[in-house]
Amino acid sequence: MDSKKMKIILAVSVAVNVALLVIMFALKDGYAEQAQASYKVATKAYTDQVAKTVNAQNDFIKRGNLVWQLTFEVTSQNLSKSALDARIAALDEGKILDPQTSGDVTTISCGEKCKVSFTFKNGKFVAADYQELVALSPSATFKVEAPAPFSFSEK
Amino acid sequence: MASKIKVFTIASLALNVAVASLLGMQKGNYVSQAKEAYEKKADAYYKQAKNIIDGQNSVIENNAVLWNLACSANLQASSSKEFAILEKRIVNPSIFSSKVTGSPDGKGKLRTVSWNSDYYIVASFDKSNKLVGVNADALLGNAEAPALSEEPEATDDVEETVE
Repeated sequence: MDSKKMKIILAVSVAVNVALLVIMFALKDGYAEQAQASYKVATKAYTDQVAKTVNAQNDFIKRGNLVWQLTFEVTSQNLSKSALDARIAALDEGKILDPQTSGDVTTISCGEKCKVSFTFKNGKFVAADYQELVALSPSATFKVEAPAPFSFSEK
Repeated sequence: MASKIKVFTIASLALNVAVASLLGMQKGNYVSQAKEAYEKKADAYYKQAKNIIDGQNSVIENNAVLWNLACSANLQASSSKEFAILEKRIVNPSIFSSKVTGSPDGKGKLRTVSWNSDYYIVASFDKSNKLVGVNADALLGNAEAPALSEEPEATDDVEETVE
């Protein structure tokens, strides 16, 4: 190969080297930033998902304790309808129990698809049904999933 | 001179290949660093949260058994024998234990049903074994949700519920 051709190849190669280095440094910050952003997004998505479960469980603990306490008080003291209403008003500060009365039956909510009912006759306690609360499986309701695989979100 | 140019050309071409492959790997390096950091953080968080949530689930589940026993005893039991029958039906003996002691006045008996030292109910019976009442105080005020000890930024909305 003659020296002229060789010089041209060398010049092109050096130019390519310079271009590649410029591109590499230009992309470096962008990649670092995107990687950092992807890490933050993925971590936050996961911790938010876990926080949702923890919060739901905490809410249930609050509500479940209240419902059990009321059920216990009604069954141990044979509370009348008006006494139960008074206890609900005193204990349910957050208005989470959603008490409903239909005829002789008063129900309070222990969560989605979970109700405890009290039957009264002439205002006097007759029966309590708390089977839905007993049957509720916390381990099926409150569970935390393993983290999803990492995904790099390119801008 | 010509041989020097040849050497430079070869070196420069080799550098072309090296820089091009570095450029190709650049993105992969950042992605794998981010992936590694995410996996480490998320995995540690998962293990910690799972422990807490599973622990709380067993408190909810076992306390529900005690509440069920207490409320059912209120409604259906009038003697120690009837209480024992209910207890046998409701309570799993591999998780719960029962202990009978004398009542403070020395006349009756107390039966404590528990699944750990914090959570229990106490049924009291008079000298003729009649059920006097059930005390469920220990089930109230002790259901505390422990906080996650290390909170990444995203967990600001995790509430600590202290019952």
